[in-house]
Amino acid sequence: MTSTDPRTVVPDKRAAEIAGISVRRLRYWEKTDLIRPDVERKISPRNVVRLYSLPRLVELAVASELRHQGVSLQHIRRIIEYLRREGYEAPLREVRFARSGDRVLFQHADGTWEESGRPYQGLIVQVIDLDRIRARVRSRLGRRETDAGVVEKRRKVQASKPVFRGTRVPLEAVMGYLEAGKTTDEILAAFPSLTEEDIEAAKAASSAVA
Amino acid sequence: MRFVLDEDVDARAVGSLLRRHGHECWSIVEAGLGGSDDDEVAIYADDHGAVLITHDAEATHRRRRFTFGRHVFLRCHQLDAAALLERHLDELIRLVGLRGVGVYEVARAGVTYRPPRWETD
Repeated sequence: MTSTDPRTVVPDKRAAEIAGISVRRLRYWEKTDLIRPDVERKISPRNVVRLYSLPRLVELAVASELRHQGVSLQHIRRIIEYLRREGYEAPLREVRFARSGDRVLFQHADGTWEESGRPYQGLIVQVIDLDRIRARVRSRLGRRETDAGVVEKRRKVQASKPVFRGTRVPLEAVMGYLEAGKTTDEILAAFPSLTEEDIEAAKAASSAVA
Repeated sequence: MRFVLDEDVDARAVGSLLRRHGHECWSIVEAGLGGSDDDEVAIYADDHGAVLITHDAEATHRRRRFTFGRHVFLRCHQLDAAALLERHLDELIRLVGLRGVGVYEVARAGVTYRPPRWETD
């Protein structure tokens, strides 16, 4: 399984970050039925878990791109509704969008461009490249490079014990592997989200304790 | 049976053990949830019809308070997890199949089933 597997999901805060929008905007889009999470479960009165799949992340990124290009939310919503009536299930990831002045255009599978019911053959200035957006979303999945080698404590993760940043791997687990004489390669095979910098940080922590 | 391994579980040792016994198994890192909160991980496993395996005692405590899905807590160091699980795997599979939703604690002495609170109140 890879990080682009159909089973890949990310939590809401990470989804917002990947799409380049605020969590508040993400919630608003959910509330107004523009783009809803794939999984939404209420665990307790104050705790709702929301998970977004990879296809949904692409939809968020396309909507975000349209907003950045100055298209209003109402306009995006009207286009989506129109395309759904035309038979598209997920227009934001099935159709290629483009801008020409104030117009928002979309391209069908047969290559023709349309502007909400009218064929369009004029100049197209800005095309929203779906392949580029998909690649960008994929590249943002997983742990950030800047997290490597950093140990931190986080609420709701391993009882706030020290973990490697961007992971749920406790520092003490890796220290145990080091004490048992395991090599860096063996530890990285056991905990694939870790890097050599993390193992060095664990070695430094072990030396400090000893 | 389907298993999702928490990020604190030795993915190579425990993963290969479960696959060797014919079970489907993947980790939350492969699922894109590395570094996520306890509840997000538990919801993901449940949503995929998988049993979550973790070493996280606090997450286990939270699952006992708000129980959903099937949650296995390995009471041992990560280095000992594969050997411990191998010793009690048959018993664990039998119990999970029999009892379903709840928390299963795997320790040296064996597997202990903790039912959801609404069943014990």
